[in-house]
Amino acid sequence: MSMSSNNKTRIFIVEEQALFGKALCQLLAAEPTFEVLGDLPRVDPSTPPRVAADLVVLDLNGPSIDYADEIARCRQSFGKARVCVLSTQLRPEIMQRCVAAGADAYLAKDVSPSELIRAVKTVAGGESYVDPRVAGQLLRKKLLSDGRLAGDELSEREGEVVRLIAQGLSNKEIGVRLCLSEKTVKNHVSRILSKLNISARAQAVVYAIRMGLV
Amino acid sequence: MRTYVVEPQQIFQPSLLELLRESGCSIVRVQERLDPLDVVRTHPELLFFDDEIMDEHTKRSLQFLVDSMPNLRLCIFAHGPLRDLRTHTSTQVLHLEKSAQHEALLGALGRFVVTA
Repeated sequence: MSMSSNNKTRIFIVEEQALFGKALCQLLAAEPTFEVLGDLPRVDPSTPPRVAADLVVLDLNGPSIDYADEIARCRQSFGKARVCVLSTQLRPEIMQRCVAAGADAYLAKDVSPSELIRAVKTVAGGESYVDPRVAGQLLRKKLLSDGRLAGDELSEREGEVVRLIAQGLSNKEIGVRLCLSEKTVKNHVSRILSKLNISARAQAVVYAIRMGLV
Repeated sequence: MRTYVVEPQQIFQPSLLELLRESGCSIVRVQERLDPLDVVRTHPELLFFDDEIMDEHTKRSLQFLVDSMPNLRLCIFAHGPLRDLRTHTSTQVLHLEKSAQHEALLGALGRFVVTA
């Protein structure tokens, strides 16, 4: 993804609560690889902020909110910027709605500061991120509805890849560890997600924990 | 005013504490969950809490605190209208809207602290 000339990820914050917006700005601005461009309480595509953000942290809350609509407005306003949703909702169906609407990450607002920074870095690096608690709920539902666990479907190599994903390694790092090219690792990851019928690496982490792989 | 803070969102705590201190509060404890016995032990004058923590258990805990600490003041940081919270009529409750601007929050808190 494109970055500012100083190689920092340019971040814009959309947060209705002024105080929370300030907190997010302070936290993210303290990270040397981030540049916080500003914040707004909400986005209005008719008067988009004149900034070239790489990533938008979008707060979505409230009982009557239309998640898909808000994400679409954000996409309209910020073009190709990646969208990281922050929400107080830990419900998998809301996470799925957000991801389907184009969100690249879904995080609960009670996430720790270090976890938020890790998630933003992951998303800025082109990957997706889902709060493991939400991913876990979703996976549990799927496993229960399938009536079985899918562990025996993975090959030995795929099991190794899942274990390394759970340790927080990127595809590139997994490749180095297993003497594989990054592209091969990517193929393994795609097959794993497909076999487990899940859509995000975070869900694979939950799977690995549940299956005792880590 | 000795203030006990219950705020589940760690990210938010620094700017919240800054606001409270600016308003004249002296922070005696910051917790992510409401522990009523710890509140009793700490004996604050003001209990500040985010309504994100509000569930049936928390409501019962608050009722216990209001019953056992009649002079305890409550400040609720809420998204919208107050959720169901029964308190004694003598209990002083301040309701702060999360969407309010910094100056408005500061003003309301400052007045609440001054009238103690």
